[in-house]
Amino acid sequence: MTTLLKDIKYGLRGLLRKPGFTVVAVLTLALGIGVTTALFTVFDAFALRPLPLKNPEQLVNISGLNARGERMNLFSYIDYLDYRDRSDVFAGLVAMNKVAAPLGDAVPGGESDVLPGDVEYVPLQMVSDNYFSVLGAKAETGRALVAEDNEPGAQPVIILSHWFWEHRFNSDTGVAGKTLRLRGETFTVVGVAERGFIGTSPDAPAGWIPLAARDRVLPAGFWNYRRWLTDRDADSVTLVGRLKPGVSREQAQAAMSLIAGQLATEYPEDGRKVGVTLASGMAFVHFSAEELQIITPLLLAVGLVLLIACANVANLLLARAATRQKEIAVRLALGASRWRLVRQLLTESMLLGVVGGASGLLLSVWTLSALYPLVISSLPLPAGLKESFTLNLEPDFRIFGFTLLASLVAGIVAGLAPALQASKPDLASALKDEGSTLSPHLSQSRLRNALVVTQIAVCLTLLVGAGLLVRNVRSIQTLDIGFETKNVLAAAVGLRKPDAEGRGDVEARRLLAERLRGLPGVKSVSQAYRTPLAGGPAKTAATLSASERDGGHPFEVNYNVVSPDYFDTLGLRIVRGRAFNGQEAQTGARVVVISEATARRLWPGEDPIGKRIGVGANLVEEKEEDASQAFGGAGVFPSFEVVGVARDARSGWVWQKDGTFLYVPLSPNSRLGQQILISTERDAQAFVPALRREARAVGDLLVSARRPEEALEFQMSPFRSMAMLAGALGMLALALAGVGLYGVMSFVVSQRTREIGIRVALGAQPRDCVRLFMRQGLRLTAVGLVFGIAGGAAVARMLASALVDLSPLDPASFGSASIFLACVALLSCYIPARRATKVDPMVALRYE
Amino acid sequence: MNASAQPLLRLDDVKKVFYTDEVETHALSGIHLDIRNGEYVSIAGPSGCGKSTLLSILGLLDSPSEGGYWLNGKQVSDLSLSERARIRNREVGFIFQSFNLIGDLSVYENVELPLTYRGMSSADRKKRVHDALEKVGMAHRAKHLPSQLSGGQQQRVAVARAVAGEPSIVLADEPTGNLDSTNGEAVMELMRELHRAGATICMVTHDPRYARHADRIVHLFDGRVVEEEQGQLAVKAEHELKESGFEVA
Repeated sequence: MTTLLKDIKYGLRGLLRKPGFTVVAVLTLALGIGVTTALFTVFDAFALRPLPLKNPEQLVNISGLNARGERMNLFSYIDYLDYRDRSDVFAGLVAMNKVAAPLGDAVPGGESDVLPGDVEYVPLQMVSDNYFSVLGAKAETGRALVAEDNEPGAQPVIILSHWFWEHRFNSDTGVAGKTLRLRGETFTVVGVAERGFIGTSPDAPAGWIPLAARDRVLPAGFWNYRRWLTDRDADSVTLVGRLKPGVSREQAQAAMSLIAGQLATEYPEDGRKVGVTLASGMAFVHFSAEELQIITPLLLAVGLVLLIACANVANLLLARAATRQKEIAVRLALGASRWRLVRQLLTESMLLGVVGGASGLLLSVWTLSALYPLVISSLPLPAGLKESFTLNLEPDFRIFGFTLLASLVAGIVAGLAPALQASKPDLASALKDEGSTLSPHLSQSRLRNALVVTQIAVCLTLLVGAGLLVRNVRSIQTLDIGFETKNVLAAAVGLRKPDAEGRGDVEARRLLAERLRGLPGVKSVSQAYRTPLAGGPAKTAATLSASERDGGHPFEVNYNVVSPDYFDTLGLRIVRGRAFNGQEAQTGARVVVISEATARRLWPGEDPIGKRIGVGANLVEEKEEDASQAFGGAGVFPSFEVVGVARDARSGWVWQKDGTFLYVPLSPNSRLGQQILISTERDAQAFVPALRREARAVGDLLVSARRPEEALEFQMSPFRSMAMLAGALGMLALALAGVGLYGVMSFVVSQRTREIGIRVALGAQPRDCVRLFMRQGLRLTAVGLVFGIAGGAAVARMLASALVDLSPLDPASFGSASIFLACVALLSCYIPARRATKVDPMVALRYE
Repeated sequence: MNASAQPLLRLDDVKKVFYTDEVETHALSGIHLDIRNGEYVSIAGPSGCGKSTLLSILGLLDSPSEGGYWLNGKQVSDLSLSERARIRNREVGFIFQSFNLIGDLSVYENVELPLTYRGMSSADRKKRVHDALEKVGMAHRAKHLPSQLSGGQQQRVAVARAVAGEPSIVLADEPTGNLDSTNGEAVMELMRELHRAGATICMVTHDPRYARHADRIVHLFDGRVVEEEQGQLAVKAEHELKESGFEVA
């Protein structure tokens, strides 16, 4: 212990005596450890930090497993009741789900994964009445949910979250009894959750409503609409349980598996869950093995940045060891064992690691606190949803522990090889007056060269990854999605007070579309069931006649119901045949336009025009919510004639081609034409006031307008974030590698000053000296680039699933990253090499 | 001080060959050497004759290519690195031409260093360091850094470091090589005092004035022992004994 303290004392003193070296090494490690700690902090906040609830270790998340072993997180409400009532391992079992509801009036239009930007949405959780008691939360004011709130037909109530109460109700203590309109429905506030209670996810809701109020805040036709209370296959809720005291997760797993088996036997439908799996519900997220695979590239990238930092410090330590060769030799001569010396040198590098780690921790805390609000505000989400996101990024003991561990590991990684190499000097010559003449193993160290090569290789690996993601964003930006989004406006339109049949809505939309067509600057107006880029496309079942392929078995197709002008409005080209005409739409003719991919899949090598396809009757009968029933086999498939082929598009998600896609004509009386699409000559946003004016002229209409361009931005944001993060890591790696190479070359030049002097004295020109060092730098760079390209290819494979229409081996990404890095590397060599040409031979020859 | 009959160290036909690229350099060619306990031996010879190589082998900093080396009766020519480090620490004290004090450590810490590696208790170390510094007259500079001392003072500290661990033998490699004549003489006087106090010393020097301070001078040339003679002090002491009527063997 005394020896260790002495080592620490000597180490600290040595570091203080070389402030330049210490500052550079500490800063380098601080950057590497800081980035690693920042990532771990986010991981900790999601996956490790216990939920701010009573005894969170007792909570378990329950997922179902189908016959193929796939996880299914949603359960039907009826299954929930069975699990709740039959199990005796839980103190309570909670059912819940999330929904974003428009504040105020309902928003017209069907379901969409992309929320319109001009409506204020509030995040809600629909929960079983035991939610608060099971999670151990109390009401700050008013009351929590009670069983009566979940009775069918009960008066809708809401418990406000503390943040929403503070922001929207100014912490009004008399809020209980007041009302809140959500999607046109009036909810009575009955209580406010206690401060700090956010539930079980970081996106804390604005409030909690009873499960019974589910259909009040969901648009008609939404998933499992009206069926969720009665159908056992209508999966709608997630389950969280609190284990009884003394019951282990394994015991609960066994009990729940038994119930799952019983239910599978009692209700043996296709797609039935045959088992359940229980995972810890102690933190926000429990990453499965598959999910961990998704974040692996990020972990790898951050680890590589730390590796570059360690390599830099290792090189600095090697250079320092070279200057301490005599001291090391003296210690050995005085009887220090090699292990003893390695231990001392490692103590020094670990001190650097610890100081670097402490600085890195500060850096990470500051960076995260600065970036967090920026990241949240840049998310393309409605304001209410942004406000609700509460992630605790304060450092806790796990983060301190992780940083300490990372610091010690970094200290060892950076210090071990230099310590091993430095502790075996040529004692006899080092102890003579030859201290300034380094032994070859330190002055021309293979280890040093290997470290430089590693830095360049790792840096290129990261730059290739970053380059691919940046190119990916550019690729998405310039992607041909098959139709126009510029100067197009999509408006969801409906009556404020619709009639039960929805006929008023249909007529109002028709009238509004007519009026819009007459406005100056409007090129085309059409109607459709789904707007472009609204997320996952609508799906239905289709079949070919028995005499044709697929044996008459139904298969899934994407579809949209559109008016004849739809193709013109979006500039969606018909490449074969024709679009349906107004008369066909008027008469409800059973004709259909298909995508190119559909033609290739269903009739490869044949002319699809005139072929027939059976389309799920639910679509024809406009029973949108029952689309899934068509797969039961009992469905009727009215036959449609293919009249045209439209070019392939990406009408749902920008990263996904539509695949098998049908454009079905919208009849004038159809309720499915909820969206009006307007193509304008000028900026579509400027057209919104005119749209609202015309809507008012038609009647008391609700209008929600959105530009498909906005939706495109929304869909691109994760790609952009990934690219920005990867770019930042790549640039950091580049800076570290550049500084590292510069440092090494500077050291090599300084160690060869005498040699340079001799060369100059013998008549060497400045360019000869530059060439001498550039050759060395070039050789290392070239080797590093070769390894880096191999590393880049490995990273590219990992990123392949995130790339949209971009080859993982994209030559531009690999080429530009390599050239960029090579330029930085050569510059890092050139500056010290230039310095070598300034050497005065008279001074150099006296150089010791 | 008379040497005892049993040799403290023995070299038997020690050879040392260096290989650099295609050149084979015979630094030592069959050295036979005995040094007895309490003896003061100088190794003299011109530059490149193998003096320092011999001293490196004696100090276990290097190992012979051939031949045997016994220290305190134990064969030490082919020990492991850690075993050699242990013996160096306990049995050998080094004094270098360029002092080789560690610049970051104080005088006290420099002298303490070999004792630290020995795992000695703090109190023992303190006493030994204090005694050693007293012996060389540097106790008052214990807290100074080497850079704050003159060359002569630095070499005194180096001598203190060499003897603090009470080694079996002190090996001195040109201890006056970096000193002016006044300081050089002072250091040689210190060596004589050490010898008088019982230390076994083996000193490499190319300066005949200092070589003659020893009991015995071993002359090296081209890696061989070419001559051995008694040192001036030994001759003088013998003469004084004869003058006093003693029989000298």
